[in-house]
Amino acid sequence: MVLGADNLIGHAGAGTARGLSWPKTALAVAALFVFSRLLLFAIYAWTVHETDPGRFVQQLCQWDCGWYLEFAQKGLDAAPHAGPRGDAANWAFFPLFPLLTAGLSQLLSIPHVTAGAVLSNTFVAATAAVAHDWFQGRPRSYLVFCALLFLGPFSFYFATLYTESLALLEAALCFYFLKRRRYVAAGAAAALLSATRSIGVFLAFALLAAAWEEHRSEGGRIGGFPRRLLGRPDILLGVVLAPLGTFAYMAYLYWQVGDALAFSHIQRGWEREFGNPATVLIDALSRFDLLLVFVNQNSQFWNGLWAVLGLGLAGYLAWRRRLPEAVFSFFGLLVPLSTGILSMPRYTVGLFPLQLAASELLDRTAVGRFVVLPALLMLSVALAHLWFRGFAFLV
Amino acid sequence: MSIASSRLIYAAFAGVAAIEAAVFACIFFPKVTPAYRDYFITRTSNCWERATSTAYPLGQPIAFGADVEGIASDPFRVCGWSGVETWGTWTEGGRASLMLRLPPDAPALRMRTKVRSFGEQSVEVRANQRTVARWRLIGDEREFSVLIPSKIARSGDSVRIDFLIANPRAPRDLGLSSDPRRLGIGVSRVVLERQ
Repeated sequence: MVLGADNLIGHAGAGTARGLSWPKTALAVAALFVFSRLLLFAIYAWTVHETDPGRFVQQLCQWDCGWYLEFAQKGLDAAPHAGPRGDAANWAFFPLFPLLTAGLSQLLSIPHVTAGAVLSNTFVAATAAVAHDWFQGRPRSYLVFCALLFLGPFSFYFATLYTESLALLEAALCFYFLKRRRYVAAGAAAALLSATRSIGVFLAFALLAAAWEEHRSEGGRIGGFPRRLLGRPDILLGVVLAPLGTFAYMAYLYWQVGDALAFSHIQRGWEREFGNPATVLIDALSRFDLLLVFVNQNSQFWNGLWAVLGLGLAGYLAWRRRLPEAVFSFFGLLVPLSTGILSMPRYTVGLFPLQLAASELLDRTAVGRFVVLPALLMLSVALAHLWFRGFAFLV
Repeated sequence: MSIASSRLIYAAFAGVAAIEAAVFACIFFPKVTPAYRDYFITRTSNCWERATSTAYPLGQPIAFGADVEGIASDPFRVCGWSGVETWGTWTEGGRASLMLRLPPDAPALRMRTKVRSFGEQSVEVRANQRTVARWRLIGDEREFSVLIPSKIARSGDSVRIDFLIANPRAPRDLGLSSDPRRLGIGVSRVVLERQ
């Protein structure tokens, strides 16, 4: 089977341009973004009965945000010191976002937490701008995508000092360049992602998948692929660039800590260890402990549901023969899943191809647009309310 | 793509690949302490020792649970302890240790400990490296009383208590839950008082 280059573009083909010109669409997206942030502030004011914007930004910074904040303020920990056993350190948190936060904080003389929030909001807005490329001639579909991005469940992560918004932007840029067969630029974007989150490394496989699609679309045989790769230095360079961010961090850790894999080894402080992702998922789904979110604020079943949703969306991408996006999504879900079920909702919404896939599916039918999407937005309001109350199952 | 630019890109590829290979090689030559290697890399140890030396007021109960009355246990924990639960704290792995700084000229001490076990457990209790008791537990919470002679208590300005657990087991390995922690005993309260 010969795969066309259009597979990478990944149009769902459901939406058509109706009613809205692109300038109006841009205005609508900007209005949606502003509304989403005002809504988040309103949820904060309703939850804690306070309207101080400074406290709002601080209250958004919950759980792991504290680790990123400490990283931005003090740099890398010299030794493990935190947690109940004193065996946790901020090495597990990749450096690019905290470094940018520290830089902006110094540049503008604003608190680190504010700098992080400014950056996060900027990155998610930039992600929406880059994503426009996937919705040429389909303004309604684009609006659905932006509504999900700005207002969807867990979108509060894109407004505070978490790496998800930057990771979305970097992945979007990588796939944007891949659509244009610009492998070096795609590899450079992937390198930035691999300095932001470890999953960036797996964009190397997305690059290879894109090269494979290109090879097959031009009638190349399976056996001829390695030879083609060797003859294309731009693909080779793109592939080795992708993990460069992680390798740079590893080199720094080796210099500072003496352990190039300290970012992985320190996971012991969070009781994470590598295992079979299928076992982890089945175990979580067999618990039926959804109601526990209101008792001990944790639920493996809840996390498992989000992992299933993510895997389903990645499967949809594979079914649509969007191989690079599917490959990256599967790696981006299965690798964290292999270390435990915690934080799977965050890992799911932080994958750009899955945001694309979800919005495309929602836009396909009236039920998706007028029933499921509003339901998701209501769920998002509830989750943001619980986030401001510090519920642990949202981490 | 011209031949010159193609060569340049090949050279860049080779350079980046060489740098990455060099960093990758560092994985196999960690420059860390044996304690770090055993705990974080090979995971053969369950004890990441925290440097702690907190003064302990004799007679005060140390509370290992959120709902247990007494002073917080965290400043006294050295290693081998899991997170605080309402009733107490589980030990993790084969050893859990406490360090308590005592008043000068500490007398002979009696340590009273409220403890339960995960399944059947044999526990050796050491004070400053000397065995002071051996316990056998079969689940339910009990209180044990252990004498720490003054020559052991005075062998430094602190007393280090080690609980050596013979058979820590993970609920996951027993098919009870997904909890991977190798649990031994669950301590709810420790008191050291004058004999």
